[in-house]
Amino acid sequence: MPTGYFSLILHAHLPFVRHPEYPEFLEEDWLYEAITEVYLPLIFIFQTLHESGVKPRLAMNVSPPLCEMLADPLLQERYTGHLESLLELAKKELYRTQNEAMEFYDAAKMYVDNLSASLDLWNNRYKRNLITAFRELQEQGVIEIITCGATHGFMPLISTLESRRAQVQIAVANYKKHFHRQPRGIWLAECAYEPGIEDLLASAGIEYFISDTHAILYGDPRPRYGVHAPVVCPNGTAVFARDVETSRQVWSAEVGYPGNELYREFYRDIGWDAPLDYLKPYLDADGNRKHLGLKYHRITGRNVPQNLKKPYIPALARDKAAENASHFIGERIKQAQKLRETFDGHPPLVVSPYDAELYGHWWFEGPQFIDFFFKKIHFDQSEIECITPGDFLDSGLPIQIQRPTASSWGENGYYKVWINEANSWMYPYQHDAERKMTAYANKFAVSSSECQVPSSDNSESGTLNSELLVRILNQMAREILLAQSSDWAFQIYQDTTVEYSTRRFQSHVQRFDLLAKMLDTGNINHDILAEIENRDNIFAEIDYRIYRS
Amino acid sequence: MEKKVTKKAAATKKMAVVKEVELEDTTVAVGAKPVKRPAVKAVKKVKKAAKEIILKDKAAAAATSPAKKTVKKTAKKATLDVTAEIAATEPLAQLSPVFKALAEPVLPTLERENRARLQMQTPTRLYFYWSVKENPYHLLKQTFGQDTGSYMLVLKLTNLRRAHEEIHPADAEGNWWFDVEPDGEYQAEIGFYAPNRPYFRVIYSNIVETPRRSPSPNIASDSDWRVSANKFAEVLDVAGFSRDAFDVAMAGDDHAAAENTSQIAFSSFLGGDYDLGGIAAEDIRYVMLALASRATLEDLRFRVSPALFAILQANADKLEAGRAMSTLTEYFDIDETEFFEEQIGAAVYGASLVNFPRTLKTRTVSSAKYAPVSSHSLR
Repeated sequence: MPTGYFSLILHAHLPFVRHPEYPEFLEEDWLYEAITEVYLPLIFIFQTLHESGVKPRLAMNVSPPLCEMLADPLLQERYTGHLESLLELAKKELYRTQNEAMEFYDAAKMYVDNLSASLDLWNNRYKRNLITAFRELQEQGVIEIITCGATHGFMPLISTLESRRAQVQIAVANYKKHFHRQPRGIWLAECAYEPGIEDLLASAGIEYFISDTHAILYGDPRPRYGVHAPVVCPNGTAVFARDVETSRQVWSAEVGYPGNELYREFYRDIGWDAPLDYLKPYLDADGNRKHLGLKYHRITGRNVPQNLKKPYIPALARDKAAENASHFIGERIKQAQKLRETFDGHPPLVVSPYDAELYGHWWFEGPQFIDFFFKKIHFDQSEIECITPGDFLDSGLPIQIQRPTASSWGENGYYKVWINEANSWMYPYQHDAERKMTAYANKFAVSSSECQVPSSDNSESGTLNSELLVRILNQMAREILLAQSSDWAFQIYQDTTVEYSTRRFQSHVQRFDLLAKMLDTGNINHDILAEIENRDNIFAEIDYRIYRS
Repeated sequence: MEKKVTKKAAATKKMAVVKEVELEDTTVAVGAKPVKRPAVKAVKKVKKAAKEIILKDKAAAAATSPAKKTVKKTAKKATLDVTAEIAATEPLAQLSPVFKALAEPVLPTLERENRARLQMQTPTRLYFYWSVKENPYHLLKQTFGQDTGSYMLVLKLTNLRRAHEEIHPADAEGNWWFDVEPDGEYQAEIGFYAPNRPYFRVIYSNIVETPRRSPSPNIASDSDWRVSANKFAEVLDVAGFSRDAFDVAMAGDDHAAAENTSQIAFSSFLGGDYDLGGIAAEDIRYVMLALASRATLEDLRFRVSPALFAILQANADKLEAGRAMSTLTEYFDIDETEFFEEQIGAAVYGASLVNFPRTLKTRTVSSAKYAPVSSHSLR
């Protein structure tokens, strides 16, 4: 038996951003950048480690909106164009740096190598569908994929039992569609928990969820092993809580590894540095500058101005990633020894969750860190064993029964980020739609081929065929789900992409209302219905009846 | 008390790639050298538009989001509107009614219905919004006839565990933020209030339970999971919750006695009797510890419950560090020791603002009775 267990959990999520109504759309870049910088590198690393005999083991949430985007043909096609365009720019940069700026040549070559490999993986190995890649990794025993609320809805701020239940059950159905099995665990959006949510999880067959530290530490009764062992709710659902020390060590913007001076500087990007004429072929039609992903500078120092940053040297950064991985493991061993001593010999479990996008997007060397971490864990030590929460449950180790307390992993540990003076205006609209959704689902419980609706010019004899009715109700369900994404309230609070987030929330509430009015009046605008379906095409498998009370 | 609360520049949102960075010298090109136009002819990869793309008109494109009325902060840079650009380059494009209908989202008018929703923001703050469908004064007249006297519409919040209420004048619809106590059970309502007359409820909200902000006093009944106060203090400490560890060790295993002692000590400290019912004993101990460490009243404003803070405000002239230290020594056998709190900022690379607990550190070795057993956080 090892001294302690370690469970790395990556939470991969992006809000559903897909705009077929435009030829290109800036916010779709969120997905494209994440594929290039995070998902493809991580998949490649995990696959390579597995094939070389190293046995990485971790849990990974691939959220339902992300799954739906990764599986979407339009976004796959657009991403292919994005990647090809970026590779073209990288190749031009290789030529330019070789002739004019040799200090950046190594970085330019790295980009050409990486992007060429990515394009090959994307087109040839994974056939433009990363869902397949994640599924293979799960079947090979590398990752345990867990699900998430259907649209990353912040559960404590959803007002009806039916809508909360829908977030869980639609997520499970979507997981089964993509991964062909029942999920064991769930990432509650923002680790937001309040007592009672576990009952919804259990009824959907979920065995465990991830919480923040104080959910367990402040739970009732006192947890014998603190946060370094899971607890189980009285209903049998297990809870694994975040270890603070590992969060701080890797993620903190004050003391975390990614701030090392040798690592790549995020904000110094060719999209802002190079002349506009040179960049124009690679920008959107509006010609506005944006991040393009080719960055040539290192952090250099915490207070060094952007224009004084030094050139990025990939080899030095890679060495630092290896050094940080060694240090991280050394700290884990010390932590496990200390915890085991404190626990009178009981083996501790350190649960270490992060946003997946930290690794590669925000921290460019993050995937290398993970690569080194698993190699060193495998070859260089035997005190720490990497497992998933599901593995722990299978181990048969006893688990204390406890009632966790309300919490989230956000700033100050509760719900402030998602409900505050800047975004509280959203909730009356969201809650109104939630209440109405259940009312409509109850009213139109389809059991025959036709349903009664008010008469109108567009419907004959006051009836609506059930296929059309189901389309409208299913689309209403999609709209409310998309409105519930915690991302909109978060970004409004953070003062980032406020206009887009506000607009997205308004759009989904408005579309829900338009569709509801069609049902109320019987006046069906087929064009609008079809256009809304075309735009918000998430969850083709959805069944609105989940909202019935 | 040293505060090491760092206000980093707000963490950039997950994948918010539109963030602009102001370079001090924006003329600097890639690297140190200006970029010359490369010989390679740049070929723009034209992203094909869907054939049926329909363009919205410039007027619609230029319209601002209606949410600006309600959202205080707006994006520094609009990122949405490529349609105006496209429309300018393709003036013959047809505008579709469907596109127009969806182009500028407007929130629907919320129907006037009975709504009363209470939401927790933090253990000490709740958000309440409401609306009353019918003119509430009609309801009042139906009940009391014309003799409505001095009745006024109010919103009321009740702490159901303590039967404590607060009342504020209200309109027929609106919203309100309440300061509340942790570990409480609350319900809000709209009703009519008049002095010396029966209260008349119109609508009421869901019930919200606010969580504790500290470890549970309860020990597992199963012997396999029982843990003493000192051992649990160690457990908390190695989890990084050293402030809670300190308090758990200070309170010991007899929670009721610790609560009683805390209340007596606090009354002694302030020199009077105070109604401390419903105020968490750990908050009381924390206040004395913080004051002993030279915290100011303002330092404590959002760290203790509103009720406790109100008592402190009323006794601002008595909040001396030496007096707090001697009270702790007298009632909790704490030697003269300096404490300071430290907190790492919530900013993390890229994504959310992640919660990191405050850590409490001691500058000198203290007695074994209450000292959190050494751990990483004390090194």
